[in-house]
Amino acid sequence: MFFFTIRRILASVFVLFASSFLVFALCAASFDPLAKYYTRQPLPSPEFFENLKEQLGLNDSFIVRYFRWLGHALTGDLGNTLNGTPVTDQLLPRLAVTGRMIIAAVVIAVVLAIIVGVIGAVRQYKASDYVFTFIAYTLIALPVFWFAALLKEFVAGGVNDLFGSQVLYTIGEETPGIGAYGTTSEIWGDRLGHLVLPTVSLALLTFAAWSRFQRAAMLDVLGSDYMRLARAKGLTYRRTVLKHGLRNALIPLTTVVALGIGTLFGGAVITETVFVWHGMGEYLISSGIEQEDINVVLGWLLVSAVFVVLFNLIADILYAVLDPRIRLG
Amino acid sequence: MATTQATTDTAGATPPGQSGSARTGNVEREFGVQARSQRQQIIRRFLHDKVGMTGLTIFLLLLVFGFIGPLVDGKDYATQNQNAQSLSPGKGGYLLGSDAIGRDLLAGLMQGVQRSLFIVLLFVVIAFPLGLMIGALAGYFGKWLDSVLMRVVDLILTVPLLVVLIVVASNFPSSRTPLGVGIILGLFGWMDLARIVRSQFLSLREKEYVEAAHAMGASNARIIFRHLIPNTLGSLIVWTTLAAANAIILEASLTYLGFGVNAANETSLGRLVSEGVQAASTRPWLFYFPGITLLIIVLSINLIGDGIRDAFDPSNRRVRA
Repeated sequence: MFFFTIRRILASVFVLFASSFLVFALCAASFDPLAKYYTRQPLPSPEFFENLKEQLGLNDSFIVRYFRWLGHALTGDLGNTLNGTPVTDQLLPRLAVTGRMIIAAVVIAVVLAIIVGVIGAVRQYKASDYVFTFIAYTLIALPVFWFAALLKEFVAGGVNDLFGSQVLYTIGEETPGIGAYGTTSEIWGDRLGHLVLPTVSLALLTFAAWSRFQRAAMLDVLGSDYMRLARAKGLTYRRTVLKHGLRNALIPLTTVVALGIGTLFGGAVITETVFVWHGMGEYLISSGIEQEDINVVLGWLLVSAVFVVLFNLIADILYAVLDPRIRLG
Repeated sequence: MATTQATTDTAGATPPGQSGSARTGNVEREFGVQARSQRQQIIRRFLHDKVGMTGLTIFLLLLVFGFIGPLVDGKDYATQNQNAQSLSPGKGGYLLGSDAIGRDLLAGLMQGVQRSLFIVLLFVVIAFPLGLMIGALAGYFGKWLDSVLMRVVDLILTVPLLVVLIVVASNFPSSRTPLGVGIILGLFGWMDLARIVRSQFLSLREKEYVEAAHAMGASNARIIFRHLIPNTLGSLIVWTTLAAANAIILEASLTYLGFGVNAANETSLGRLVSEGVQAASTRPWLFYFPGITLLIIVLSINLIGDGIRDAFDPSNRRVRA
């Protein structure tokens, strides 16, 4: 187990290394830091471009630039934005904002997926199974931004009318400026109100696919011999399902969820756009891609890749822990 | 050529996926039971599957709506009517209402369905051969080729698909047509197919009939195309349906973020939906109808996929502990 873990960590570091190269190549081919000067009227002198190139190190070869960037990135320095502020300082608070939403969404989604998946499997081909299946497929078929707009329009409006005050917020991750005057509990209460809708929309759409997974895994388990043995030994049906069945049926879900969290950090882009959250997604689109700011995009992609690889690693290790039959060879 | 084909075919090398297909299909057996080939059984199971058939029916209706509807309706989405701006449904001959610059929403939806299906078709035509080829090479030849190809796939997967699509689309602003978006989606949507094909090939290539084919002197290409690919057909079809449904949503998301279909007088379901989101409270029909159309089309494709999966999997786990 120990050596397996070590080997997987080493492999992950290597994947991350290669991934950073891929990311750098993608960005180097995509963005030209000088692009905004080309359209200037009048066009700056050639000396100006030469100076700038020298300053930004663009005259060096691709490989040299890559290793310089990587060297800085390893020390936590992701370079500066076009405006001259460090990317790292901007990414971290945004990571916290997005992380808040994702952690809440994943917790809700996992709980829902397990409940719905198990009920669907145990009551296969009964009315409840069909209802859950239908709901799951509908949710999978919905575009996030449309569903989110629906939530904003109706759920938020309805709940706020019901309480007669602004309980759910449709925009932003906190009321602007509350950090300056609110107490800690006020700030977090406010953030909680802002958190509900994005989390619900993200959780509902993620849970749908996961519940199908959980259902399939549970069905597999229910048909297995050790379940029959457990029943034959006289355990109650409920007990066999919950104690013997669920435990084993959770293994595939663990992997799916672990991989899902990694990609969610990148995939929350739309949810953040709809709810105007100043998180990772907004940062990538409005500060990075629209401004053609290569360091922002690079930093973002690197952070996202770290999460994907990290949770990939966690998934592999968890898998081995949960199912001892997995060969650690 | 004809003789070698005959020998390899009769050498017990015919894949089970279509064992003795058309020839033995209608032969009368003992007890008067008609023998059915596996292919017939699969089609039969699919036709008897309520879920899959519902999906197929809805999908066909949508095809009629998208391709025959415009002929019946006779309106053009590009026509802007200054006297009929933001009409609610049913008014002034606009069955589903009109948008802010007086374009008919119904005509837009029909065109949107058409264009979205075009995007999906393009996506499948590009992604399917790519994924199949890379998965087949990795799974069949194994060893270093497998490691290299799969590590490449892993690497690409470390970058979120949506982000790659955004970066690529923002570099080719002129690609914001259904054609361009379809190509971009196709070029970056084959990784999971490659993984699926590879994993199936890994187990299939150890089967006896592959060994038999080898012994008969069949070439690698022949084994791959005649024996292995037909046996992965089930997964291939299921992947295609699910990926197609996914592509529609991806296109919509891309367009919503401002990197999808954007050219003048071009529309797609994604564009209609993403434009409609801004009008959710003021002109709800622009919000609801495109969204619901998108939901129905994705749902129907998913249901078809589900039906096919069940049809290909006869064991179908109807067990209860």
